[in-house]
Amino acid sequence: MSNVIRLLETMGRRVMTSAEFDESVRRLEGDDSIKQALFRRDEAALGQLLGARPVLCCMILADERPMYRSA
Amino acid sequence: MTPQGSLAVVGLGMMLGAHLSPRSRNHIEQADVVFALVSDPLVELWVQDMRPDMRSLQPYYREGKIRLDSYREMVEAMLLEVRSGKRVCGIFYGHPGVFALVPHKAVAGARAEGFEAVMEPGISAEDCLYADLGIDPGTYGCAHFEASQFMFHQRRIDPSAYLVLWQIGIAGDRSLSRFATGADYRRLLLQLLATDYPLEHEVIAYEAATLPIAVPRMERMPLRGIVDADLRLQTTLVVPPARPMQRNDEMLARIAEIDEQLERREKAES
Repeated sequence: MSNVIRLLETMGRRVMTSAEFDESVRRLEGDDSIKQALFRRDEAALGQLLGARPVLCCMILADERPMYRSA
Repeated sequence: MTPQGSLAVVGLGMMLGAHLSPRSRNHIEQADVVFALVSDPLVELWVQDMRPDMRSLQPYYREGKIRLDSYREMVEAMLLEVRSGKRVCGIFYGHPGVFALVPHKAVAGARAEGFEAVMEPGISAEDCLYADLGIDPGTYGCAHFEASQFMFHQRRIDPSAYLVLWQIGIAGDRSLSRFATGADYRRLLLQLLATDYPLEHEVIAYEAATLPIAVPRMERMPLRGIVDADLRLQTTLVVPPARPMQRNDEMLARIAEIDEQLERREKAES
């Protein structure tokens, strides 16, 4: 798992050409299905294969005033 | 004497690996206890890779549970560790202070109890939106609202400026406990917007890319399309200006008067 996350981190830090990306994925150790998910840029499959949570809630804002709130 | 515990809330930015500042990374590495609330499952794994002992705040959410209760529990979980003398780091996606109640509450709460607390900014979805859509908020002006708050209150809409509505996927949710509202709620929002915008006016459903292998969502549609569009938790609705800015001739004339007075005074003094 860490190799894949570290590859993504590296890609986040610096721009990679398609050839560099392909080569980096090919050189990854581990499950071929993870490499295929990377090649397809399939985020959902990648998350599933790496054991990530299926869904994340990302709302951290709400109006605190109770006057409009339903029961 | 200042108590020992401290709190730093930091922003991860939106894209895995791309936006984390050195200072925020340092907070993450140096903290005794790390909590995280992020927007992408793989980003959560990245945080876990940096800090295997990371505590996710996700379990505090539950569909049907009032989000304000979840938020209070998240804040309390962080402050509990601060009170026990720990250096605590709260990691949040984007910018921890933009459209985010929990980090603000946590910092204010820690300070109110006498602890040191700081907020480190991050690159927000708003920042990505400007870059991806090529929008400069200074060109025509830009108003941002949380979508439900926008519906619940009477607002003055300026259709000559950009309008950005956040959390559009739960527009109209009064219960604060749903993860999605539906077409009926958005139909009301459409009616509200239709008083200032033509139904065919082009709007954009926007989602920032959270992974470097992904691209941002920038789906253009007519305003009427928002009723049936796939608008998710992370979707933001961007409404571009629908008419030119109107000159304020009265204000311009009053400014000209002041300019002339100044000119006369300067001439008299020279």
